[in-house]
Amino acid sequence: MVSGRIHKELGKYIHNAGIVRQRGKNGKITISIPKIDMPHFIFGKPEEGVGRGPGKDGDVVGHDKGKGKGSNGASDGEADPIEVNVDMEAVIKALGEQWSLPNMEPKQTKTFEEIKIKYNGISKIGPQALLHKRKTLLQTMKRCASAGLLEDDKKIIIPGYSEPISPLLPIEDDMRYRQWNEVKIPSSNAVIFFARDISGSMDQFKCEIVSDMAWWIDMWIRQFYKKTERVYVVHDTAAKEVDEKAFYKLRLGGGTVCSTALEYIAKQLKHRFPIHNWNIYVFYFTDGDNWLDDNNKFIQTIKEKLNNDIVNLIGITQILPWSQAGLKEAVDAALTKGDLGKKYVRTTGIDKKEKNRGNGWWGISEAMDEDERNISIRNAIRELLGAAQTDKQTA
Amino acid sequence: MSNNNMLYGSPVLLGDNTVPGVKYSPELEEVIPRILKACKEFGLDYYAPLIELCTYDDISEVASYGGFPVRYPHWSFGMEYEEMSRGYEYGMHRIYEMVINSNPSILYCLDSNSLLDHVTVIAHALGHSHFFKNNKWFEPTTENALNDLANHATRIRRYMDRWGRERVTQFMDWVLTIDTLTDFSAAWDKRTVKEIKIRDERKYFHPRKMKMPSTDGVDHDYMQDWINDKEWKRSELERTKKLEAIQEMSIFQGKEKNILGFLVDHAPLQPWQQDIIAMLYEEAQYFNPQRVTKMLNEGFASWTDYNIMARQRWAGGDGIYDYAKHKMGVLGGKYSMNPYAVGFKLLLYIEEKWNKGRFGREFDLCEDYAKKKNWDTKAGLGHQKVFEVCEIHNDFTAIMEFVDQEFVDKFELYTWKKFPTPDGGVDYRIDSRDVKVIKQLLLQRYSNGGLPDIRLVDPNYAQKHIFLLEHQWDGRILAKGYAQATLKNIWNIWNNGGTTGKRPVALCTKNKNEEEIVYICIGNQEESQSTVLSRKDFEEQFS
Repeated sequence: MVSGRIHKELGKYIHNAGIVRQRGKNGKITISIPKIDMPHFIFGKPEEGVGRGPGKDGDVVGHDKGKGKGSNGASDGEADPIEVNVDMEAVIKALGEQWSLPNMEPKQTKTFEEIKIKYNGISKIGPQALLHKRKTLLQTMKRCASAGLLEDDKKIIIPGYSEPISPLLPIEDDMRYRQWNEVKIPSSNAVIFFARDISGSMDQFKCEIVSDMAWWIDMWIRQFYKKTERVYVVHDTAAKEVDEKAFYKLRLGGGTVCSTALEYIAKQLKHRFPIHNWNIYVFYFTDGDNWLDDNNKFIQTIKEKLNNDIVNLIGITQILPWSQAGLKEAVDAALTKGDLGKKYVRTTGIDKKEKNRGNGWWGISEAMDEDERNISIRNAIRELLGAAQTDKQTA
Repeated sequence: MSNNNMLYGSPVLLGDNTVPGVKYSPELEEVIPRILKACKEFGLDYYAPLIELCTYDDISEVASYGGFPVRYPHWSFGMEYEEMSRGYEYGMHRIYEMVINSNPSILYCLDSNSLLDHVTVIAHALGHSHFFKNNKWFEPTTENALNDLANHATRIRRYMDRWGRERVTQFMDWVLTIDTLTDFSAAWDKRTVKEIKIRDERKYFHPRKMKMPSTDGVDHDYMQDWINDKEWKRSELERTKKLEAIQEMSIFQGKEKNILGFLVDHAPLQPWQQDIIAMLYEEAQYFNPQRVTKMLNEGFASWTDYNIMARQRWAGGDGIYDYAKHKMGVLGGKYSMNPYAVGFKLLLYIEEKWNKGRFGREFDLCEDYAKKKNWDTKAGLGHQKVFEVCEIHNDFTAIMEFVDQEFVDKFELYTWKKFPTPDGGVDYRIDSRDVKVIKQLLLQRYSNGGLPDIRLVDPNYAQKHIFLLEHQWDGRILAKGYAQATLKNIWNIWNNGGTTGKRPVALCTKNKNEEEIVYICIGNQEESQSTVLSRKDFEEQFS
């Protein structure tokens, strides 16, 4: 149903990040777009008309509220918006165009190979069902030609044919059969680790941002791999694995040790997701609050246990930090120093444009309006997946 | 079934009702022959009906395609569908049936209708079918539309494969915006190929001569040089030469209403574009009569099901309430002005008038109020008259002929005008109940299918290659944004998207203050979109 101009409208809609709150239903996303009218020559709003009903001359029969719209006779009727169900595929495609997200590439060093059976060989023996007729006949012709059976004087007359022909009769030696071979193809499995801080400072508003970001990142990465697993990790002073629902809802008080989450993930890679079998993505969400000495340990963990050879991408998102020196700043410093590879560690922040930290932490979350929120989520996703950096380079 | 079919002469076919998900009631199959027979006896002469039950999703799809199962691919159909199916899901509206003008006429019924609704709807649809078959305005439309439109779809799909979907769709966008700029009487014109004339068969025009008044029966020849002076003779000669030239080259003469038809013949298009525009023109011509007879058509169908269900008591004792409720929903309440209601009431009024013999010279000349009020000759011609009206009239002529003061009083019609209120809104106040005013407004509403009358004045205005259109202004103004957007599309067709030159397209109309203005479009780029000039500025700038 979506094509042509509706598709363009979809692009515009996605560009404005109006869909980040949606999750879709039956693989479809509902968007409300203004109805595109076919322009025709039509009349403007009439100044007079015919009606039915009782009443004397001068009786009021109707009333229009509005800011002088009635006096402006030629104003066009504004079309009502219609709601359109758009296939997830179309949305993802438009997403790639509009947010200019890059393709996710499997790691080159991954050597795990899957075995698949293909009938691409030829053998002299085999079952009748796999007889390769064309090859067999070709073989017969070759044999006949080399034995001189195809010459004119060897031709025989067969009733029903106007001219004498040379018959081709395959013997057992001519038979060719299809044969199967084992083909090794590179595997395409991916695991996405979503990890987040569940300390008291992560309030409802921040949780929703995490939820939106994680869902769209998941949607994007998933399309490049045959099989995608997701692991949700939460931590306060210690990390643990939870299911998807709990991941988005869970909130506890308590301390914050960010590196525990990474330790946990590194542990999982040993047995559950062997690194030579899986493409590994790690996304970590925080509000920047961390125990002081832990920032170094966090960076150290990335360096030692989750380095370039092991993971495809590590994304660190800092949502509405309450202090100037959060986790993101520490990682950024390490990036500029060259301790961490810029190619696979990405950081981003979701922050208000006007920083009025005087209001305290709780006030900051409330003060962000819907549009700003959605657009900053869009920008954060672009930055994490790497599109924004290429933008900067070209600009 | 087949034995019953013989009774009323035409075959009835139940369509493919085996689609999974369609609710099919066996009682309906039993009742169909009976209802068809009743309609036949009532006097309907319909195309053989092909009754097909649909789920709501199906009927929305078919309705967005204008009733045809196969149409060319275009995004506007999809949008229509989304709107319609959403409307049903939210319980805002409901399509009971659809019937198309073809032979056999396909009748789509909503499967969730009750049995009574089904019967009503079938009677209603047969009314439409009768109208399609017998109304004069539908005479030039094809009976084979189902195949024709499907063939068009195939051809357009092929062009899409050959020239690219985007390109073809864009061209169709241009054409579809002006599919209302046709002349429905042009359907009777035979399109002929211009013959090559070998012999000189030119039509010669003769210069006019001014005649002298002769009071005494004597010609005063000596006055010739004064009355038909040299200047006059010269101008007359020039005029006739010009006329002859026009006639010979058969170039544009006079105001042309059939603008789309003109573009089909004369726009500088590629062969594939020519084929597509001709197909779309054909389709526009096919749908035209439905636009100009909508009120009467719906009225007649409503009148038919009213006769069958209520007067012939098909609804039965209890069912009559359900029927009344259904009817109420269709006609839209007590004081509704929708085409169903207006047409239905008008036909009922005509029927009553002719039943009582309230027509003719004797009735018109009667001046005794009491006598005129209770006039009843028991003529009983109503049934016959309604059928006659539906054969020869369209909306415009029917209102012209049958709306009078009595109808206005009976139907409680009034005209309203807008009055601004202090809070910035608008009040609608009753202005008049005079038949003259009301009739004028009603006629305006139904003239030209309720759309502005746009004429082509000159495709090469002032020898400056301006494609000049003129709105036949009748007090109503054009919607500005739409007019400009449409003008841009005409520009695109007339210049083939800018590939064949840059000939401006202009539309002359009047604004709210009755000043002449000209919308002019000189290009399809964003910055050179159509602008508005006053007529004076336009003349100065372009001639």
